[in-house]
Amino acid sequence: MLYSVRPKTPWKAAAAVVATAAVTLLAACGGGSDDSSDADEIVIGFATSESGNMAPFDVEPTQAAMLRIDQINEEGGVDGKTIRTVTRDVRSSPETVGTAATELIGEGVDLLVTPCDFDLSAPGASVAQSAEVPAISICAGDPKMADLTTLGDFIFSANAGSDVEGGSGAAWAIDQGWQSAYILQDESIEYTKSAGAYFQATFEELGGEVVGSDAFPGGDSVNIASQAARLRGMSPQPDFVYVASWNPGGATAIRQLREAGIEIPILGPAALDGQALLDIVGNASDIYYTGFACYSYCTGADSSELDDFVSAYDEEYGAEPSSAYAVLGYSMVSAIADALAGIDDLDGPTVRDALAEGEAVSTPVGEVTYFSETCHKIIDFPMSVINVSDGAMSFVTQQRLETLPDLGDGNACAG
Amino acid sequence: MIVDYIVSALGLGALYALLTIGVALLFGVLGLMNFAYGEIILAAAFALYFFRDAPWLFAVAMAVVFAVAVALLSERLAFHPLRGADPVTLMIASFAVSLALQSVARMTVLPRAQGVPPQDFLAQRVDILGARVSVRDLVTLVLCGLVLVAVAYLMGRTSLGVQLRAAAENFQMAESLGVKGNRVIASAFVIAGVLAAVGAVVLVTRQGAVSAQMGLQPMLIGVIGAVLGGMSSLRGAALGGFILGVGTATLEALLPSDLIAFRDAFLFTALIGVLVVRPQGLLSGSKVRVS
Repeated sequence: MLYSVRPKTPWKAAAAVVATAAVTLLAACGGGSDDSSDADEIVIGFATSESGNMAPFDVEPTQAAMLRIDQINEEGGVDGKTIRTVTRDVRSSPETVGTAATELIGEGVDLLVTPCDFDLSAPGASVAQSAEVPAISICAGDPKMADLTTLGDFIFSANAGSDVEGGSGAAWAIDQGWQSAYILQDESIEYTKSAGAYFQATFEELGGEVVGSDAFPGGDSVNIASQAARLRGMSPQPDFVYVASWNPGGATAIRQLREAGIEIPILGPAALDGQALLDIVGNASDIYYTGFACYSYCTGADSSELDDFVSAYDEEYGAEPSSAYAVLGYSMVSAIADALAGIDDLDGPTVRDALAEGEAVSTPVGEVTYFSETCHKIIDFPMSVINVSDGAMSFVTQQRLETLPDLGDGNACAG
Repeated sequence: MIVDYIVSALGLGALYALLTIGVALLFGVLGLMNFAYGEIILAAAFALYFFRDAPWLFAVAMAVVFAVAVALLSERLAFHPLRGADPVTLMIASFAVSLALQSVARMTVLPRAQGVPPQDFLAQRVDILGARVSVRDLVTLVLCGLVLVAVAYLMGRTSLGVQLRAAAENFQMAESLGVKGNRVIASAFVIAGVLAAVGAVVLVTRQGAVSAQMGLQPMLIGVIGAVLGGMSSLRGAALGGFILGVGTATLEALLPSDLIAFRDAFLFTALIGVLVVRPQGLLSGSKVRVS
């Protein structure tokens, strides 16, 4: 990337360093008991993006989270405590995330919410870790967000993760009686790589066979003519192809597979979700992906909880959510409220332990166990398998994954 | 398989040659290394998205209109006042134009990638020598080939072409001999706009998506291809772009899947090798025009 690099001013960098140091010092001296919040309220700081290139992933989940907070407050709060929010626009910039986290923690938030991406969350998370304030990424999918060593034991992600997405896809494929898989791996980001790796491991563990795989660089400019030619040359054709990719490049790859005359079913992870997939693949059929929910542009989920969520969101913001990431923000607040119920002392370690207790939370997509002591993300998320056919999306079924295979990559949630 | 490969490699080569010529033309005439070329492509691509429900040929025509309009506007507003400035100043100005246009696109119409549905006739496949070749690949090859021939004719056989080449050779001398500088420069931008629009049509039918940063890669391809072929000669630039395209397609076809992620690393290593031997580019003449 030549000129989309974000401007890095020495000022911002210096400010972030000084601020981090100050907070660390504060934490060391004061033992992290920065207890400026009143006992009758819970303060949540949102350091998410309202602008910039991550805004499409952050805005809707954050709005949905605010919606849930309003609902909880109207119902009387958490054990009588109202939830108060403080927000900072981090403008999709990692430097700003660190500064925003420092400011919010300085204002005495009990809990920090960071953006929907590992790389963007990391600077905020490290500030929170040194101050011993729990931080939850609103929907980061990288498994590294959830182990206790990469960023620390105060850090969580309110998403299932690409490992669970890949694994759920494999489990569903086995249920269809599909025995032979072909993997088309997008090499562009960590998300796609772990989706592909966990798809393969789960599929093989469940008795399937990966008969071939190929890769493409991914990104904005996708041309998989030669990969498609190789797959078309296979005889017999595999039962299906798993496209471990994300939008818009993944949708482009699917379109080119179909244009190349490959007719077998195509399966992929949740980052293919959204209106763009429909627009890009046009009238192609027999395409499936494991998404977070099926609503708005997707039909057939027949869930009154989801309908309630969508209409409440529509009423509040004047439009239905445009991607299924929104429901993750909404459910995250439910998980936080459930965890903090019955807790009087809101200091960091207590909140962290309460979050990690791992009780099932009721969400619009069903009961979900958010966190456990070793795994700070969701494993049993009921992924919605969604079918794309003739320019429409429809719900197929929900697919849960009970355990993740251990790939030996240090994933704390495996095994 | 072989026919497939040949059609797609030649198509990619022709596309890259097209992108390269757009960059090299402005460099030749103005000494302008135009980094805003990617945003001219973006303008055309946006037209294809905006008129995605209109008849395809109309959308293509609008893509040309949008691209030419943005190219001329950028000339008028940014590069015209800097006429005669140092090439580095022009280059920095083109960076500014590029960033500004991209940011405007991101803030207004393209905050996120948008899809452009495929055209049914382009998704068909036809039998050629026993291979099923996609119509899209054939259209790419024919379209880019035709445009290349048209540019060659324009530059070689028309009065405008002679003036453009004269201006590229020595702008001041050409002006004193009666070549109208403003008109020649404007036509160079128009040609670059048309080339960018054709490039955008091919890119959008292939990708099916339009996003604010989509111009970056084609612009880089144009610049790199032009450097490889020789900045001072349009023929050289076209050859550079063509080699880059065929090279990319060949690496995709031959590399084992573990190494495909590093395709560009192989490609650019080879490029560095070529430039070590011929730093002036493959077809550059004896005189390299820097300013």
